[in-house]
Amino acid sequence: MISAASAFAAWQYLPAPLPQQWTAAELATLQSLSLQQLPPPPPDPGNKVADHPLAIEFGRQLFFDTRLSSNNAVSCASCHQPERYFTDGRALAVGIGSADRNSMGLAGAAYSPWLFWDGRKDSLWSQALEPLENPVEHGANRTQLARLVAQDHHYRDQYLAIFEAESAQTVLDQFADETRFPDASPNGSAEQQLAWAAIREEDQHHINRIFSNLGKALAAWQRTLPVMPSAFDEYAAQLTKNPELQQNTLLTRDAISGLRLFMGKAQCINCHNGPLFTNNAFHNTAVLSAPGVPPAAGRSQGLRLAQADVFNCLGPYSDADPAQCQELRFARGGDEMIGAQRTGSLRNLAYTAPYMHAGQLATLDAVIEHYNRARVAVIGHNEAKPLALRAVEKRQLKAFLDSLNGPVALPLSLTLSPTPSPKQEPEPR
Amino acid sequence: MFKNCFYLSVLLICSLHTNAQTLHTGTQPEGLQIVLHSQVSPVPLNQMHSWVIEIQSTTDAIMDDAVIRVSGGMPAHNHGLATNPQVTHYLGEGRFLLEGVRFHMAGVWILQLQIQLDNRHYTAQLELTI
Repeated sequence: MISAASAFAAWQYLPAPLPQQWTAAELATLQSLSLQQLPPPPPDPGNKVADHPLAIEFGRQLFFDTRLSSNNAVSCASCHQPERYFTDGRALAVGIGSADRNSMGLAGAAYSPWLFWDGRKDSLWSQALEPLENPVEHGANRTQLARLVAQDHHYRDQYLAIFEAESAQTVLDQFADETRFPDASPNGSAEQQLAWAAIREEDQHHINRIFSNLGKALAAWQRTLPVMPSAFDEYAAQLTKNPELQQNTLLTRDAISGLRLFMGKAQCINCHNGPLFTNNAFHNTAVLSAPGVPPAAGRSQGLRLAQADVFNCLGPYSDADPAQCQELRFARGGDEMIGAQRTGSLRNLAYTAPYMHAGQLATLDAVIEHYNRARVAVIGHNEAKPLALRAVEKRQLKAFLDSLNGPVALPLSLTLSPTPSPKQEPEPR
Repeated sequence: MFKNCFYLSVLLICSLHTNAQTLHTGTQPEGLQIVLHSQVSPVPLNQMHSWVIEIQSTTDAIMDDAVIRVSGGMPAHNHGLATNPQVTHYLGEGRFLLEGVRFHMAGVWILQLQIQLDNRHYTAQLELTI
Protein backbone atom coordinates (compact mmCIF):
# COMPACT_ATOMS: atom_id res chain seq x y z
CA MET A 1 0.00 0.00 0.00
CA ILE A 2 2.79 2.35 0.97
CA SER A 3 4.78 1.47 -2.11
CA ALA A 4 1.74 2.18 -4.32
CA ALA A 5 1.38 5.59 -2.71
CA SER A 6 5.09 6.25 -3.20
CA ALA A 7 4.87 5.24 -6.84
CA PHE A 8 1.88 7.55 -7.37
CA ALA A 9 3.71 10.43 -5.68
CA ALA A 10 6.77 9.79 -7.81
CA TRP A 11 4.65 9.69 -10.96
CA GLN A 12 2.98 12.96 -9.99
CA TYR A 13 6.11 14.88 -9.12
CA LEU A 14 9.07 13.47 -11.05
CA PRO A 15 9.81 15.49 -14.19
CA ALA A 16 10.26 13.69 -17.50
CA PRO A 17 13.76 14.04 -18.99
CA LEU A 18 14.20 16.75 -21.60
CA PRO A 19 15.19 15.59 -25.09
CA GLN A 20 18.59 16.76 -26.29
CA GLN A 21 17.21 19.24 -28.80
CA TRP A 22 14.07 20.47 -30.54
CA THR A 23 12.91 18.82 -33.74
CA ALA A 24 12.54 20.97 -36.86
CA ALA A 25 8.74 20.85 -36.55
CA GLU A 26 8.89 21.86 -32.89
CA LEU A 27 11.24 24.71 -33.71
CA ALA A 28 8.91 26.00 -36.40
CA THR A 29 5.98 25.96 -33.98
CA LEU A 30 8.06 27.57 -31.26
CA GLN A 31 9.23 30.35 -33.57
CA SER A 32 5.63 31.05 -34.62
CA LEU A 33 5.07 32.20 -31.03
CA SER A 34 8.01 34.58 -30.95
CA LEU A 35 7.43 38.30 -30.85
CA GLN A 36 9.88 38.59 -33.74
CA GLN A 37 7.11 37.12 -35.92
CA LEU A 38 4.63 39.86 -34.99
CA PRO A 39 3.94 42.08 -38.01
CA PRO A 40 2.82 45.72 -37.69
CA PRO A 41 -0.84 46.06 -36.69
CA PRO A 42 -3.18 45.29 -39.59
CA PRO A 43 -4.77 48.30 -41.29
CA ASP A 44 -8.14 49.46 -40.02
CA PRO A 45 -10.05 50.49 -43.13
CA GLY A 46 -12.90 51.81 -41.00
CA ASN A 47 -10.60 54.39 -39.41
CA LYS A 48 -8.88 56.66 -41.91
CA VAL A 49 -6.86 58.34 -39.14
CA ALA A 50 -5.71 55.04 -37.60
CA ASP A 51 -2.05 55.91 -38.17
CA HIS A 52 -2.30 59.71 -38.27
CA PRO A 53 0.35 61.20 -35.93
CA LEU A 54 -1.94 63.99 -34.72
CA ALA A 55 -4.74 61.51 -34.08
CA ILE A 56 -2.37 59.34 -32.06
CA GLU A 57 -1.46 62.29 -29.82
CA PHE A 58 -5.09 63.44 -29.56
CA GLY A 59 -6.08 59.90 -28.59
CA ARG A 60 -3.41 59.77 -25.91
CA GLN A 61 -4.76 62.93 -24.33
CA LEU A 62 -8.34 61.68 -24.47
CA PHE A 63 -7.31 58.34 -22.93
CA PHE A 64 -6.15 59.97 -19.69
CA ASP A 65 -8.81 62.69 -19.50
CA THR A 66 -11.30 62.23 -16.66
CA ARG A 67 -13.61 64.82 -18.21
CA LEU A 68 -14.80 62.03 -20.49
CA SER A 69 -17.09 60.88 -17.68
CA SER A 70 -20.21 61.94 -15.84
CA ASN A 71 -18.36 62.71 -12.58
CA ASN A 72 -15.04 64.01 -13.93
CA ALA A 73 -13.29 61.16 -12.15
CA VAL A 74 -13.17 58.30 -14.68
CA SER A 75 -10.85 58.03 -17.66
CA CYS A 76 -9.98 55.10 -19.90
CA ALA A 77 -6.84 54.75 -17.76
CA SER A 78 -8.97 54.11 -14.67
CA CYS A 79 -9.48 50.50 -15.80
CA HIS A 80 -6.68 50.28 -18.38
CA GLN A 81 -3.75 51.27 -16.19
CA PRO A 82 -0.40 51.40 -18.03
CA GLU A 83 1.51 50.06 -15.02
CA ARG A 84 -0.78 46.99 -14.94
CA TYR A 85 -0.35 46.30 -18.63
CA PHE A 86 -3.54 48.25 -19.24
CA THR A 87 -5.70 46.20 -16.89
CA ASP A 88 -6.85 47.09 -13.37
CA GLY A 89 -6.13 44.12 -11.10
CA ARG A 90 -9.84 43.70 -10.35
CA ALA A 91 -12.14 40.80 -11.15
CA LEU A 92 -14.74 43.23 -12.48
CA ALA A 93 -14.06 46.70 -13.83
CA VAL A 94 -15.06 49.66 -11.64
CA GLY A 95 -15.91 53.04 -13.06
CA ILE A 96 -18.97 55.03 -12.05
CA GLY A 97 -20.30 51.70 -10.82
CA SER A 98 -19.26 48.07 -11.13
CA ALA A 99 -19.24 46.45 -14.55
CA ASP A 100 -19.92 42.78 -15.18
CA ARG A 101 -16.72 42.05 -17.10
CA ASN A 102 -13.00 41.88 -16.42
CA SER A 103 -10.98 44.72 -17.98
CA MET A 104 -9.06 43.45 -20.98
CA GLY A 105 -5.50 44.57 -21.71
CA LEU A 106 -4.95 46.93 -24.62
CA ALA A 107 -1.45 46.09 -25.88
CA GLY A 108 -1.97 43.97 -28.97
CA ALA A 109 -5.70 44.76 -29.15
CA ALA A 110 -5.18 46.33 -32.58
CA TYR A 111 -4.49 42.85 -33.95
CA SER A 112 -7.91 41.50 -33.04
CA PRO A 113 -10.74 41.75 -35.55
CA TRP A 114 -13.22 41.59 -32.69
CA LEU A 115 -13.23 43.46 -29.41
CA PHE A 116 -14.67 42.80 -25.94
CA TRP A 117 -14.91 39.33 -24.46
CA ASP A 118 -18.03 38.57 -26.49
CA GLY A 119 -16.89 40.29 -29.70
CA ARG A 120 -19.72 42.78 -29.76
CA LYS A 121 -17.49 45.35 -31.49
CA ASP A 122 -15.71 44.86 -34.80
CA SER A 123 -13.05 47.58 -34.52
CA LEU A 124 -10.87 49.26 -31.96
CA TRP A 125 -12.46 52.65 -32.70
CA SER A 126 -15.98 51.37 -32.24
CA GLN A 127 -15.00 49.54 -29.05
CA ALA A 128 -13.65 52.77 -27.56
CA LEU A 129 -17.11 54.35 -27.78
CA GLU A 130 -19.11 51.96 -25.66
CA PRO A 131 -17.42 52.44 -22.25
CA LEU A 132 -17.75 56.22 -22.66
CA GLU A 133 -21.55 55.95 -22.51
CA ASN A 134 -21.87 52.87 -20.32
CA PRO A 135 -23.56 54.14 -17.12
CA VAL A 136 -21.33 51.98 -14.89
CA GLU A 137 -18.10 52.89 -16.70
CA HIS A 138 -17.59 56.53 -17.82
CA GLY A 139 -21.30 57.38 -17.72
CA ALA A 140 -20.77 60.20 -20.23
CA ASN A 141 -22.99 60.94 -23.20
CA ARG A 142 -22.14 61.82 -26.77
CA THR A 143 -23.53 65.35 -26.66
CA GLN A 144 -21.43 66.08 -23.57
CA LEU A 145 -18.35 64.78 -25.39
CA ALA A 146 -19.07 66.83 -28.51
CA ARG A 147 -19.42 69.86 -26.23
CA LEU A 148 -16.08 69.14 -24.59
CA VAL A 149 -14.33 69.10 -27.95
CA ALA A 150 -16.13 72.26 -29.05
CA GLN A 151 -15.38 74.17 -25.84
CA ASP A 152 -11.80 73.14 -25.13
CA HIS A 153 -9.59 75.18 -27.47
CA HIS A 154 -6.76 72.68 -27.28
CA TYR A 155 -9.00 69.76 -28.23
CA ARG A 156 -10.93 71.82 -30.76
CA ASP A 157 -7.80 72.79 -32.68
CA GLN A 158 -6.53 69.22 -32.73
CA TYR A 159 -9.90 67.87 -33.81
CA LEU A 160 -10.18 70.28 -36.71
CA ALA A 161 -6.62 69.57 -37.80
CA ILE A 162 -7.20 65.81 -37.85
CA PHE A 163 -10.75 65.46 -39.12
CA GLU A 164 -10.91 67.65 -42.18
CA ALA A 165 -14.61 67.22 -42.57
CA GLU A 166 -16.32 69.82 -44.71
CA SER A 167 -17.43 72.74 -42.56
CA ALA A 168 -16.28 70.79 -39.49
CA GLN A 169 -15.59 74.02 -37.66
CA THR A 170 -19.11 75.41 -38.05
CA VAL A 171 -20.61 72.06 -37.23
CA LEU A 172 -18.45 71.60 -34.16
CA ASP A 173 -18.95 75.08 -32.74
CA GLN A 174 -22.74 74.81 -32.53
CA PHE A 175 -22.44 71.97 -30.02
CA ALA A 176 -20.68 74.24 -27.52
CA ASP A 177 -24.14 75.62 -26.68
CA GLU A 178 -25.34 73.48 -23.76
CA THR A 179 -28.76 75.13 -23.75
CA ARG A 180 -29.38 74.09 -27.32
CA PHE A 181 -27.72 70.71 -27.00
CA PRO A 182 -28.12 69.39 -23.45
CA ASP A 183 -26.78 66.01 -22.32
CA ALA A 184 -28.30 63.49 -24.70
CA SER A 185 -27.71 59.96 -25.90
CA PRO A 186 -29.78 57.10 -27.33
CA ASN A 187 -28.11 54.90 -24.70
CA GLY A 188 -28.28 57.23 -21.69
CA SER A 189 -30.77 57.83 -18.89
CA ALA A 190 -34.47 58.25 -19.70
CA GLU A 191 -33.95 62.02 -19.63
CA GLN A 192 -30.97 61.80 -21.99
CA GLN A 193 -32.88 59.54 -24.35
CA LEU A 194 -35.75 62.06 -24.47
CA ALA A 195 -33.27 64.85 -25.13
CA TRP A 196 -31.70 62.79 -27.90
CA ALA A 197 -35.07 62.16 -29.52
CA ALA A 198 -35.68 65.92 -29.53
CA ILE A 199 -32.51 66.62 -31.55
CA ARG A 200 -32.92 66.92 -35.30
CA GLU A 201 -31.77 63.90 -37.24
CA GLU A 202 -29.14 65.96 -39.06
CA ASP A 203 -27.66 67.16 -35.76
CA GLN A 204 -27.78 63.64 -34.33
CA HIS A 205 -25.70 62.59 -37.29
CA HIS A 206 -23.16 65.37 -36.67
CA ILE A 207 -22.92 64.42 -32.99
CA ASN A 208 -22.47 60.76 -33.89
CA ARG A 209 -19.73 61.78 -36.32
CA ILE A 210 -17.85 63.70 -33.61
CA PHE A 211 -18.40 60.84 -31.16
CA SER A 212 -17.08 58.26 -33.61
CA ASN A 213 -14.08 60.47 -34.41
CA LEU A 214 -13.14 60.48 -30.72
CA GLY A 215 -13.17 56.68 -30.87
CA LYS A 216 -10.95 56.81 -33.93
CA ALA A 217 -8.40 59.01 -32.16
CA LEU A 218 -8.45 56.73 -29.10
CA ALA A 219 -7.93 53.73 -31.38
CA ALA A 220 -5.06 55.46 -33.19
CA TRP A 221 -3.21 55.83 -29.89
CA GLN A 222 -4.00 52.29 -28.73
CA ARG A 223 -2.54 50.95 -31.98
CA THR A 224 0.84 52.29 -30.90
CA LEU A 225 1.00 50.46 -27.56
CA PRO A 226 3.99 48.13 -27.69
CA VAL A 227 4.16 44.50 -26.68
CA MET A 228 7.44 44.11 -24.86
CA PRO A 229 9.65 41.04 -25.38
CA SER A 230 9.89 38.41 -22.67
CA ALA A 231 12.46 35.81 -21.63
CA PHE A 232 10.74 33.37 -23.99
CA ASP A 233 11.29 35.75 -26.93
CA GLU A 234 14.99 36.01 -26.10
CA TYR A 235 15.17 32.22 -25.92
CA ALA A 236 13.44 31.96 -29.32
CA ALA A 237 15.91 34.50 -30.74
CA GLN A 238 18.83 32.43 -29.46
CA LEU A 239 17.33 29.33 -31.05
CA THR A 240 17.26 31.15 -34.37
CA LYS A 241 21.03 31.48 -34.16
CA ASN A 242 21.62 28.04 -32.71
CA PRO A 243 18.75 25.61 -33.45
CA GLU A 244 20.54 22.81 -31.60
CA LEU A 245 20.26 24.68 -28.35
CA GLN A 246 17.84 23.05 -25.92
CA GLN A 247 18.68 24.45 -22.52
CA ASN A 248 20.32 27.68 -21.54
CA THR A 249 20.24 30.27 -18.84
CA LEU A 250 17.34 32.22 -20.32
CA LEU A 251 14.70 29.64 -19.46
CA THR A 252 14.67 27.17 -16.59
CA ARG A 253 14.29 23.44 -17.18
CA ASP A 254 10.75 23.74 -15.84
CA ALA A 255 9.92 26.54 -18.31
CA ILE A 256 11.31 24.58 -21.26
CA SER A 257 9.38 21.50 -20.18
CA GLY A 258 6.32 23.75 -19.84
CA LEU A 259 6.87 25.02 -23.38
CA ARG A 260 6.87 21.43 -24.62
CA LEU A 261 3.63 20.79 -22.78
CA PHE A 262 2.15 24.05 -24.10
CA MET A 263 2.77 22.93 -27.68
CA GLY A 264 1.89 19.30 -27.00
CA LYS A 265 0.03 17.44 -24.28
CA ALA A 266 -1.61 20.50 -22.72
CA GLN A 267 -2.92 21.68 -26.12
CA CYS A 268 -2.81 25.34 -25.07
CA ILE A 269 -1.44 26.29 -28.48
CA ASN A 270 -4.68 25.25 -30.17
CA CYS A 271 -6.22 28.59 -29.24
CA HIS A 272 -3.29 30.51 -27.75
CA ASN A 273 -1.32 30.58 -30.98
CA GLY A 274 0.73 33.22 -32.78
CA PRO A 275 3.09 35.83 -31.29
CA LEU A 276 0.34 37.27 -29.08
CA PHE A 277 -0.65 33.82 -27.82
CA THR A 278 -4.24 34.25 -28.97
CA ASN A 279 -6.21 33.41 -32.08
CA ASN A 280 -8.67 36.19 -31.15
CA ALA A 281 -11.47 33.70 -31.83
CA PHE A 282 -14.31 32.58 -29.59
CA HIS A 283 -14.39 29.39 -27.57
CA ASN A 284 -16.59 27.91 -24.90
CA THR A 285 -14.31 26.40 -22.27
CA ALA A 286 -16.96 26.03 -19.57
CA VAL A 287 -15.81 28.91 -17.40
CA LEU A 288 -18.36 29.16 -14.62
CA SER A 289 -20.10 32.44 -13.96
CA ALA A 290 -19.79 33.99 -10.51
CA PRO A 291 -22.23 32.58 -7.91
CA GLY A 292 -25.70 34.02 -8.46
CA VAL A 293 -24.85 35.37 -11.90
CA PRO A 294 -26.46 33.69 -14.93
CA PRO A 295 -24.02 32.26 -17.49
CA ALA A 296 -22.91 34.74 -20.14
CA ALA A 297 -24.35 34.21 -23.62
CA GLY A 298 -20.95 35.15 -25.05
CA ARG A 299 -20.32 35.42 -28.77
CA SER A 300 -23.80 34.23 -29.77
CA GLN A 301 -25.14 37.49 -28.36
CA GLY A 302 -22.02 39.55 -29.10
CA LEU A 303 -22.26 39.01 -32.83
CA ARG A 304 -25.93 40.02 -32.90
CA LEU A 305 -24.98 43.25 -31.12
CA ALA A 306 -22.11 43.90 -33.53
CA GLN A 307 -24.33 43.35 -36.55
CA ALA A 308 -26.91 45.81 -35.22
CA ASP A 309 -24.33 48.43 -34.19
CA VAL A 310 -24.53 51.76 -36.03
CA PHE A 311 -20.80 52.13 -35.40
CA ASN A 312 -19.79 48.86 -37.11
CA CYS A 313 -17.64 48.50 -40.22
CA LEU A 314 -20.65 48.66 -42.55
CA GLY A 315 -22.26 51.61 -40.77
CA PRO A 316 -22.39 55.27 -41.82
CA TYR A 317 -19.51 56.31 -39.51
CA SER A 318 -17.06 53.76 -40.86
CA ASP A 319 -14.52 54.86 -43.46
CA ALA A 320 -14.40 51.38 -45.00
CA ASP A 321 -15.83 50.23 -48.27
CA PRO A 322 -18.28 47.36 -47.60
CA ALA A 323 -15.98 44.98 -49.47
CA GLN A 324 -13.35 45.63 -46.79
CA CYS A 325 -15.67 44.55 -43.96
CA GLN A 326 -14.95 40.87 -44.38
CA GLU A 327 -14.91 40.03 -40.70
CA LEU A 328 -18.41 41.38 -40.22
CA ARG A 329 -19.81 40.09 -43.51
CA PHE A 330 -18.57 36.57 -42.96
CA ALA A 331 -18.88 36.31 -39.19
CA ARG A 332 -20.30 33.13 -37.78
CA GLY A 333 -22.77 33.14 -34.93
CA GLY A 334 -25.46 30.70 -33.91
CA ASP A 335 -25.82 28.09 -31.22
CA GLU A 336 -22.22 26.93 -31.40
CA MET A 337 -21.16 30.33 -30.12
CA ILE A 338 -23.31 30.14 -26.98
CA GLY A 339 -21.09 30.77 -23.98
CA ALA A 340 -18.04 31.37 -26.20
CA GLN A 341 -15.65 34.12 -25.11
CA ARG A 342 -12.68 35.61 -26.91
CA THR A 343 -9.33 33.95 -26.32
CA GLY A 344 -7.15 36.17 -24.14
CA SER A 345 -3.46 36.82 -24.75
CA LEU A 346 -1.07 34.97 -22.44
CA ARG A 347 1.58 37.65 -22.51
CA ASN A 348 2.25 39.47 -19.22
CA LEU A 349 -0.15 37.40 -17.15
CA ALA A 350 1.75 38.51 -14.05
CA TYR A 351 0.10 41.93 -14.43
CA THR A 352 -3.37 40.92 -15.58
CA ALA A 353 -4.82 38.70 -12.84
CA PRO A 354 -7.54 37.76 -12.06
CA TYR A 355 -8.39 35.84 -15.20
CA MET A 356 -11.34 35.00 -17.47
CA HIS A 357 -14.21 37.17 -18.67
CA ALA A 358 -15.47 38.01 -15.21
CA GLY A 359 -12.23 37.48 -13.31
CA GLN A 360 -13.56 34.19 -11.97
CA LEU A 361 -10.14 32.56 -11.56
CA ALA A 362 -7.72 34.35 -9.25
CA THR A 363 -4.49 32.55 -10.06
CA LEU A 364 -2.71 30.81 -12.91
CA ASP A 365 -2.81 27.59 -10.87
CA ALA A 366 -6.60 27.83 -10.89
CA VAL A 367 -6.63 28.48 -14.65
CA ILE A 368 -4.39 25.47 -15.36
CA GLU A 369 -6.55 23.29 -13.15
CA HIS A 370 -9.66 24.56 -14.94
CA TYR A 371 -8.33 23.33 -18.29
CA ASN A 372 -6.90 20.17 -16.76
CA ARG A 373 -10.36 19.12 -15.58
CA ALA A 374 -12.40 20.48 -18.53
CA ARG A 375 -15.76 20.08 -16.89
CA VAL A 376 -19.11 19.99 -18.69
CA ALA A 377 -20.31 23.46 -19.66
CA VAL A 378 -23.41 24.90 -18.01
CA ILE A 379 -24.51 26.34 -21.36
CA GLY A 380 -23.28 25.34 -24.80
CA HIS A 381 -20.55 22.71 -24.95
CA ASN A 382 -16.99 22.75 -23.66
CA GLU A 383 -14.55 22.48 -26.56
CA ALA A 384 -11.71 21.52 -24.22
CA LYS A 385 -11.08 17.97 -23.08
CA PRO A 386 -9.46 16.77 -19.82
CA LEU A 387 -5.67 16.88 -20.03
CA ALA A 388 -4.60 14.50 -17.22
CA LEU A 389 -1.64 16.71 -16.37
CA ARG A 390 0.56 15.48 -13.54
CA ALA A 391 1.39 17.81 -10.65
CA VAL A 392 4.89 18.40 -12.00
CA GLU A 393 3.50 19.19 -15.45
CA LYS A 394 1.16 21.83 -14.06
CA ARG A 395 4.14 23.41 -12.31
CA GLN A 396 6.15 23.33 -15.53
CA LEU A 397 3.32 24.85 -17.54
CA LYS A 398 3.10 27.70 -15.06
CA ALA A 399 6.86 28.20 -15.28
CA PHE A 400 6.55 28.61 -19.03
CA LEU A 401 3.66 31.08 -18.69
CA ASP A 402 5.84 33.06 -16.26
CA SER A 403 8.48 33.29 -18.99
CA LEU A 404 6.01 35.30 -21.11
CA ASN A 405 6.18 38.28 -18.77
CA GLY A 406 8.02 41.22 -20.25
CA PRO A 407 8.95 44.56 -18.73
CA VAL A 408 5.87 46.62 -17.99
CA ALA A 409 7.81 49.88 -18.14
CA LEU A 410 6.51 51.76 -21.13
CA PRO A 411 7.96 54.86 -22.76
CA LEU A 412 7.23 57.98 -20.76
CA SER A 413 5.17 59.37 -23.61
CA LEU A 414 2.75 56.49 -23.14
CA THR A 415 2.28 56.87 -19.44
CA LEU A 416 2.39 60.62 -18.94
CA SER A 417 -1.13 61.81 -18.38
CA PRO A 418 -1.71 65.34 -19.59
CA THR A 419 -3.26 67.88 -17.27
CA PRO A 420 -6.77 68.51 -18.53
CA SER A 421 -7.28 72.11 -19.48
CA PRO A 422 -10.17 73.89 -17.75
CA LYS A 423 -13.51 74.12 -19.47
CA GLN A 424 -13.38 77.00 -21.89
CA GLU A 425 -15.77 78.81 -24.11
CA PRO A 426 -14.79 78.96 -27.76
CA GLU A 427 -12.98 82.07 -28.85
CA PRO A 428 -14.98 84.41 -31.03
CA ARG A 429 -14.07 83.89 -34.66
CA MET B 1 -16.77 50.89 -59.58
CA PHE B 2 -14.80 49.80 -56.54
CA LYS B 3 -16.40 46.38 -56.56
CA ASN B 4 -15.51 45.88 -60.21
CA CYS B 5 -11.90 46.79 -59.44
CA PHE B 6 -12.00 44.48 -56.44
CA TYR B 7 -13.15 41.45 -58.41
CA LEU B 8 -10.76 42.31 -61.23
CA SER B 9 -7.92 42.33 -58.72
CA VAL B 10 -9.11 38.99 -57.34
CA LEU B 11 -9.06 37.55 -60.85
CA LEU B 12 -5.58 38.91 -61.34
CA ILE B 13 -4.44 37.43 -58.06
CA CYS B 14 -6.03 34.12 -59.06
CA SER B 15 -4.00 34.03 -62.21
CA LEU B 16 -0.79 35.06 -60.48
CA HIS B 17 -0.93 32.59 -57.61
CA THR B 18 0.04 29.52 -59.50
CA ASN B 19 1.68 28.11 -56.38
CA ALA B 20 -1.46 28.49 -54.28
CA GLN B 21 -2.44 25.37 -52.37
CA THR B 22 -4.98 23.29 -54.24
CA LEU B 23 -7.30 20.54 -53.05
CA HIS B 24 -9.03 18.04 -55.33
CA THR B 25 -12.01 15.78 -54.79
CA GLY B 26 -14.99 14.22 -56.51
CA THR B 27 -18.63 14.55 -55.58
CA GLN B 28 -21.45 12.40 -54.29
CA PRO B 29 -23.18 11.44 -56.51
CA GLU B 30 -20.39 11.24 -59.06
CA GLY B 31 -20.36 13.69 -61.93
CA LEU B 32 -18.29 16.68 -60.86
CA GLN B 33 -14.65 17.25 -60.04
CA ILE B 34 -13.96 19.93 -57.47
CA VAL B 35 -10.69 21.84 -57.22
CA LEU B 36 -10.14 24.40 -54.50
CA HIS B 37 -7.40 27.00 -54.94
CA SER B 38 -6.32 28.96 -51.87
CA GLN B 39 -5.57 32.56 -52.75
CA VAL B 40 -2.90 32.77 -50.05
CA SER B 41 -0.07 30.30 -49.86
CA PRO B 42 0.68 28.69 -47.53
CA VAL B 43 -2.84 28.64 -46.11
CA PRO B 44 -2.54 31.07 -43.21
CA LEU B 45 -3.56 30.76 -39.59
CA ASN B 46 -5.78 33.51 -38.15
CA GLN B 47 -6.04 35.46 -41.38
CA MET B 48 -9.16 36.08 -43.43
CA HIS B 49 -8.58 34.95 -46.99
CA SER B 50 -10.33 33.71 -50.13
CA TRP B 51 -10.39 30.55 -52.19
CA VAL B 52 -11.48 29.84 -55.74
CA ILE B 53 -13.78 26.86 -56.16
CA GLU B 54 -13.42 25.29 -59.59
CA ILE B 55 -16.14 22.91 -60.75
CA GLN B 56 -15.28 20.62 -63.64
CA SER B 57 -18.16 18.83 -65.32
CA THR B 58 -18.25 16.45 -68.24
CA THR B 59 -21.68 17.75 -69.20
CA ASP B 60 -22.66 21.13 -70.59
CA ALA B 61 -23.95 22.33 -67.24
CA ILE B 62 -24.56 26.07 -67.03
CA MET B 63 -22.11 26.86 -64.28
CA ASP B 64 -23.19 30.38 -63.42
CA ASP B 65 -26.48 28.93 -62.19
CA ALA B 66 -24.71 26.81 -59.58
CA VAL B 67 -25.54 27.40 -55.93
CA ILE B 68 -22.69 26.50 -53.59
CA ARG B 69 -22.76 26.41 -49.83
CA VAL B 70 -19.63 25.81 -47.75
CA SER B 71 -19.42 24.53 -44.19
CA GLY B 72 -16.89 22.50 -42.25
CA GLY B 73 -14.94 22.36 -39.04
CA MET B 74 -12.45 20.41 -36.96
CA PRO B 75 -13.68 16.92 -36.13
CA ALA B 76 -11.01 16.50 -33.44
CA HIS B 77 -12.36 19.46 -31.53
CA ASN B 78 -16.02 19.03 -32.36
CA HIS B 79 -16.50 22.56 -33.67
CA GLY B 80 -17.34 24.18 -36.97
CA LEU B 81 -15.66 26.87 -39.01
CA ALA B 82 -14.69 30.10 -37.29
CA THR B 83 -16.42 32.08 -40.03
CA ASN B 84 -19.31 31.79 -42.43
CA PRO B 85 -17.61 31.74 -45.85
CA GLN B 86 -19.75 32.48 -48.88
CA VAL B 87 -19.48 32.26 -52.63
CA THR B 88 -19.78 35.90 -53.66
CA HIS B 89 -18.94 35.98 -57.35
CA TYR B 90 -18.87 33.81 -60.43
CA LEU B 91 -15.47 34.25 -62.08
CA GLY B 92 -16.28 32.35 -65.29
CA GLU B 93 -15.14 28.98 -66.64
CA GLY B 94 -16.63 27.09 -63.72
CA ARG B 95 -14.74 29.12 -61.13
CA PHE B 96 -16.35 30.76 -58.11
CA LEU B 97 -14.89 33.15 -55.56
CA LEU B 98 -15.24 31.93 -51.98
CA GLU B 99 -14.70 34.76 -49.50
CA GLY B 100 -14.50 34.81 -45.71
CA VAL B 101 -12.36 31.80 -44.83
CA ARG B 102 -10.30 31.93 -41.64
CA PHE B 103 -8.72 28.98 -39.84
CA HIS B 104 -8.07 29.82 -36.21
CA MET B 105 -6.46 26.59 -35.00
CA ALA B 106 -3.71 24.38 -36.38
CA GLY B 107 -4.71 20.82 -37.22
CA VAL B 108 -7.01 18.92 -39.55
CA TRP B 109 -9.93 20.84 -41.05
CA ILE B 110 -12.80 19.54 -43.14
CA LEU B 111 -14.50 21.65 -45.81
CA GLN B 112 -17.90 20.45 -46.98
CA LEU B 113 -19.50 21.73 -50.18
CA GLN B 114 -23.14 21.45 -51.13
CA ILE B 115 -23.63 22.17 -54.81
CA GLN B 116 -26.88 22.59 -56.65
CA LEU B 117 -26.38 22.42 -60.41
CA ASP B 118 -28.88 21.66 -63.18
CA ASN B 119 -31.48 20.66 -60.60
CA ARG B 120 -29.11 18.05 -59.16
CA HIS B 121 -27.66 18.13 -55.68
CA TYR B 122 -24.03 17.18 -55.09
CA THR B 123 -21.88 17.07 -51.96
CA ALA B 124 -18.13 17.10 -51.67
CA GLN B 125 -15.75 16.93 -48.75
CA LEU B 126 -12.15 18.06 -48.64
CA GLU B 127 -9.57 17.78 -45.90
CA LEU B 128 -6.64 20.05 -45.24
CA THR B 129 -4.10 20.39 -42.48
CA ILE B 130 -3.09 23.81 -41.26
